[in-house]
Amino acid sequence: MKVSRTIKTGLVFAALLLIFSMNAFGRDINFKIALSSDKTPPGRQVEMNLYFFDSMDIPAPGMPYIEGLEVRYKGSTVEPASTSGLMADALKHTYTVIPLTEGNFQIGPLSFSYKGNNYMSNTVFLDVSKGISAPAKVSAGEPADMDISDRIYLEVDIPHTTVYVNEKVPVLVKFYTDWLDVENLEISDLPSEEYITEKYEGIDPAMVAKGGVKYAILRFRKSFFILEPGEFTFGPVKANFQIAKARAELLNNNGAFYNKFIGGRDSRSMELEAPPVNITVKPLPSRGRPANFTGAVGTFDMDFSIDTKEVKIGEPITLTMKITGKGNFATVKAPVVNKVEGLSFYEPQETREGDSTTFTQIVKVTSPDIRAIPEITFSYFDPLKESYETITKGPVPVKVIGPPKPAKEAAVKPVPDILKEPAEKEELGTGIIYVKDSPGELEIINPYAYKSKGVIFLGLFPILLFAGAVMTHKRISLLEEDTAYAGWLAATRRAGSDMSKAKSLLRNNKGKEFYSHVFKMMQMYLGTRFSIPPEGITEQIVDDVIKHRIDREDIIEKIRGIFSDCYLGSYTQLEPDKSDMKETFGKLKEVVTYLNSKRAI
Amino acid sequence: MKKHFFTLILLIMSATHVSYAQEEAVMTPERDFYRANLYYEAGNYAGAIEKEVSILDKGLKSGNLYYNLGNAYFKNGELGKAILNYERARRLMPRDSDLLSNYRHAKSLMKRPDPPSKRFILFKWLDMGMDYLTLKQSMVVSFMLYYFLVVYIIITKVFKRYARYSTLISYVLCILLVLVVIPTAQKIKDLNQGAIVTAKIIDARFEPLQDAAVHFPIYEGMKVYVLRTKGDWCKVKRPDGKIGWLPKNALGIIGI
Repeated sequence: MKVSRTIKTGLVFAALLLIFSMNAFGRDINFKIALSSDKTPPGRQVEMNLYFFDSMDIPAPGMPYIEGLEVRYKGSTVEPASTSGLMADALKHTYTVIPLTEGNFQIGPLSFSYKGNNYMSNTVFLDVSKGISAPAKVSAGEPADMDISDRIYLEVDIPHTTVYVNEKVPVLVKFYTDWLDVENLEISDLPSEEYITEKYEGIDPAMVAKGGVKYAILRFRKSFFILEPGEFTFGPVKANFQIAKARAELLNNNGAFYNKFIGGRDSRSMELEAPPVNITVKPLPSRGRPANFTGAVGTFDMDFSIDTKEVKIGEPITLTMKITGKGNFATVKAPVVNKVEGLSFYEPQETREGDSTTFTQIVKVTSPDIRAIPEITFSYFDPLKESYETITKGPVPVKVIGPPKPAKEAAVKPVPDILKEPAEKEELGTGIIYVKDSPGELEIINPYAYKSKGVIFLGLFPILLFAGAVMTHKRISLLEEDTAYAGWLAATRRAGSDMSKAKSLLRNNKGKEFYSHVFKMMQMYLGTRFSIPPEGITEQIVDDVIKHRIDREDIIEKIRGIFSDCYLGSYTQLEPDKSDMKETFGKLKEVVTYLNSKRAI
Repeated sequence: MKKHFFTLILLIMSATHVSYAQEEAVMTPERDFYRANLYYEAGNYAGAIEKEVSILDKGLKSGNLYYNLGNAYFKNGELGKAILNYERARRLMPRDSDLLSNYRHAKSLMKRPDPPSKRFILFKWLDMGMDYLTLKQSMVVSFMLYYFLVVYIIITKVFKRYARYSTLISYVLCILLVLVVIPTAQKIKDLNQGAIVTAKIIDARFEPLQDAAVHFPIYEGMKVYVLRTKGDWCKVKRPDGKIGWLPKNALGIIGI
């Protein structure tokens, strides 16, 4: 137990020792500092490169503060470099060193530790003096006896040194030469992650006289834009070239024209550097920034057009928005179309040509309510005016004319048979037809005409008609089938008029006519009522037939009495007495009333 | 005497002038109609609408008037009112080809078409058939069939010799009558309850309250049936049977 504890303690100590002694195992590695120039005037920057040969992942070491120098990190690359007389890949961290004052500055030795290794650099010196200009220098390995600084130099022209983020900054590089044969001229500047640049483009050379000397100017231009606000250093711009001259001229600046043709030619690689340019980069102002601003910086204009002004539902319209002008087209995004219901927007397509960018956007009409392509806006920041500008186009009226066209037919169409059907089907347009010329027949507004009394009557009338017909039909049927009822009905109807006549004769005291009428009336009434031939009805018939069908004896007696009275009244010579007539009429009335009340006898 | 004579002449002249002026001021409905057409031709659709509505305000109507009013509303961008007036015109001149063309075109521009009706398909066909008749004409046809049926029954009952196949013929006549009466009744329902949504889009609510829950949206030009009204609200039924409450001012009643 004790032994194992001792072993454990020993292991812990060993581990700690190993950890703390890691540095002791680290290597001492040298790296190289090189300045692009060891002499420079104040304000003109010098490039400082740190070369690491052993590892490619070493981060940029921090630079110690050196009074009178401003050092900025620019970036890193891997490139071949010479070490100990051999070429090998090296990690190069590049810094810009800007001398602020005159003096002789020492840079290095620099040291730092990384991954247990100790890195140590050499020491370089930078002589900063106003009397120093940036001479053209001859590349390594070339003769150093060429002093052509007064015959060739480089200028960088940037019109504005205070710009906005993403503002397009034009650069014009002028390479002056007093008629030296310059060959393979290449203009370059240091790459940086802080800005995006184009390639240099040569433009027409020019001529200028300076100090009594005529110079040819080879001109190169490009533009760039800076991504972040702050202080930015452009350059230094370098010109790498070869000078091809008659050998004698190279050796002796007083060489003659003759020598160019007679003597041999030689060329020398040379590098010329223009001083860097400091640029102040301002951020885009937040004040007045439109909501639809998408970052465009420059001075722009916009043209807007659509390919058709009449479209059917489901068909597309192509919107063409062309942005022209001067500015950073990399920042130009498609103009903003106000979205509305009824239009489906597809992604805009971008085509850039020189100083213009064209956006085409397909819009599909999905609603018949669409009357126009809505407003289109494009906002940008104008660095010249230092303000945001918005271009608005539209709305452009469109006419949605109805359902979509049918799908396109197959590419190969059968040959139409003109005898059977027309070659092309006629397609009718849609829209509204013009107004009527006359008002037509104006009538009074009455929404409830269908409720009028006339209409109600017309509706009810057939029902009444039908009811009447049914009743009539029923009655006819009854009369046809029920003889007793038919007799009763006929007798009753006739009795009424006959009674009136009898009453009239009684009133006029016409005795014989009265009794004659009453006799006939009784015959007719009883005959009709009891279905007996009326002519043969006498007192005897009353006794034989009628008395069996009437249940009241007094009525039978009265019928007999009426017949008896009629015999007496008709056949006596004397005029009947009125009181007798009244008595007979009374009997008659009573008999008729009783028999009328008895429908079924 | 002479003085009185001149006074009399002046009085007569002024009276004549006044009567002419009055005649000039009185615009007959026909003049209003033609004036509306002039406005329409000049693109002054609001003016045309005003003139045509003034004729309606006088209590007069015609198919052509509603048709032109529909056109003016259409040109003025008021699709719902255009459809409403085409619907009204259809009740007066249902077979007018211009009207049918414009009506169909206006309906095709609706944001959402009318939801399909849940009405029995046979009745839908009958409605479509009777769309070519005015209410008056379909009522005349209905009455004619009704009278013919009644008279036929009476005749066959009274005159037995005509009673052969009477039952079959009576049934056929009854069916025909029903087939005519059903769409006629629908026309009457349209007249009384039919309405067109004139608002662009509006939510039908569960209750006649502004803050009531939304039931379903209704779009401009849709046809609805007004079941009842309460204050400024109408209880409406869509052709697909959905019922909700709409503000009265969002609708135009077809009834003419």
